[in-house]
Amino acid sequence: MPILGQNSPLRKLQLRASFKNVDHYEKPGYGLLPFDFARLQGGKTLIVNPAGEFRTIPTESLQSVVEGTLPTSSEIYRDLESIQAISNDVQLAGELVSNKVAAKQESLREFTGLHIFVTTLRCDHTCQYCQVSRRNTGEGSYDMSKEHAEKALSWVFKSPRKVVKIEFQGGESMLNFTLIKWVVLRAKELNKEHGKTIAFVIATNLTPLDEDILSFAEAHDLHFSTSLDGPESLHNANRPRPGKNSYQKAKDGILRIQERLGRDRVSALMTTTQKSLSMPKEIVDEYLSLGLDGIFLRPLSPYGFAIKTKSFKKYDSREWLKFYQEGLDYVIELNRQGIPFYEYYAGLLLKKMLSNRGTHYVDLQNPSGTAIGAIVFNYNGKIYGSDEGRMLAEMENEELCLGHLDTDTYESVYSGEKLLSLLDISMQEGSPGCDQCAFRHWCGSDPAYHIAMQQDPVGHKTFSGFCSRNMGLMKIIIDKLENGDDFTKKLFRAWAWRR
Amino acid sequence: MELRFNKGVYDKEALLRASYSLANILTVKIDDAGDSWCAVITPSADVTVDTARDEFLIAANDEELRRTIRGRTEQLRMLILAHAYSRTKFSAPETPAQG
Repeated sequence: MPILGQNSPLRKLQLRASFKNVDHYEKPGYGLLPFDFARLQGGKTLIVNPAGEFRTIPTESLQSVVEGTLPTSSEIYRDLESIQAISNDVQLAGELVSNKVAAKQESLREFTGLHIFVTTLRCDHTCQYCQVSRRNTGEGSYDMSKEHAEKALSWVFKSPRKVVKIEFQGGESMLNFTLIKWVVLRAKELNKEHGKTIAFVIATNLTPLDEDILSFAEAHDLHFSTSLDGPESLHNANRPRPGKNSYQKAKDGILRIQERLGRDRVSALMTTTQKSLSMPKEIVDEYLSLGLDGIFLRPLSPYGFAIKTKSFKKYDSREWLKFYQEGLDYVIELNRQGIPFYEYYAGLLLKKMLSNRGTHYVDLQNPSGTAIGAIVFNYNGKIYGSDEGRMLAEMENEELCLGHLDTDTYESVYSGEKLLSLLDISMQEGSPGCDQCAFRHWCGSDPAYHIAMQQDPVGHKTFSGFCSRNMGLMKIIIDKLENGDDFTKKLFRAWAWRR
Repeated sequence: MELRFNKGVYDKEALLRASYSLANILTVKIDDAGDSWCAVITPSADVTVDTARDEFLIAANDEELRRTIRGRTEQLRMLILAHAYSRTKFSAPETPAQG
């Protein structure tokens, strides 16, 4: 074969004709693993693996990823390989993803942790958004009996979980403080045999708080969770009570508990009403001024008086997301100024997005946390798989009632067709609209919400406020993780791993 | 507005999924037209015809791509989920343990 000279015109011609860009010679050499994708703004596409790990890539690259023509030397290849969306060793990568999914679903193995005792439906407030359809303070027939409380306690100790929480709810739970005391003492007595770690939380508006309650809480390590909607005018407008002093009562109670028991013994929750929408900074400032370590910027839920008074329909997901983003931006800014403060909703999602752990937050579980995350014993002995389930019941919809303490056993409810069927249809993998959604890995199923809004536990996700709200929120977080400054990214990583 | 989708490129499932996901802005009637699917699109009152067409085309392409991914990874996906969930002890063994 004649050897062509280095500068031979023929050689140059052959080179030009024979050699193409180096990418052309790279064999696809990789296989696809399961992933979901969603288009984002700015020409980006979100890629998420079954364990919820994600990357964003330019949308125009998606087709080549799927076709297997992505150059293996490219940054996109390395990015997607790092979350096992593609790999040159599909079996090994599949095993890795499987381990990650199992770690994220750890809460399933732990089973029911939260046990809610509705001590009474009586309440001294007349909140327009009340989700449990409270009763007047004099109506004693809306109190839980000791007999039902004793039966409910037996369920707590049947839970395989070592660490359990007993939460007292209402109405105003402390209007039946006699029962709370009895349950705490009885639980401690029974626990001598079981050796569980039990946390006690009282969900309360703090109005009935007095010296006796504080002393008991101090002696028995009780925690308080209260409602605080924001500054005085907003809080009192949302939460009317005789004397028009709900804010003052809540504030006094928070400060009293902090002083007597410690700052970590009281937390607060806010509910967003139409009046709140223009006040995200003022609401956050209120929490800061009371020495609270964070805020959960929560939308209104569609139950009880929130539906009857039409409070729920006074703003939509888009308006709430605007409020949320302003609030979150302000919280980030506070942290930038050296004031540590936490936003719980973002924190929950960041745990799912960036850490290898799941969360126990019942609303964002797949399958739904119904009964296997939390269980509710209503004042009248009826059993529900979630707080929202009993809220629906107060609206005369018993679809999520799982049984009654007088007639059903732990075994009959947990292995019963009703619960299993509810869990089955709540699995996102088989749920229309969720099954191929890229955001589902961080989201959850909320049968009660969809029954309330669409009269169907699965619901049409295109019309679901639950879906648009959570998806919008996740997009806000992804945008900050992708395009935010270094401080925000670092803060979000810290929130993801916060205990 | 009527759109035609080549059957060699688009599966009916992709078109149905696209119409389901866009049910808040349009409705679609899909008919078999020989070598193609005929999609008759009706935008809702607050959506222009152009927007409805563009959104539907993007959604149909995305759904077709998802079908491709699902088709090529379905068995592995089931294996990953089975493997992961079996370790959560959430599912019972299919056959009783032999004692």
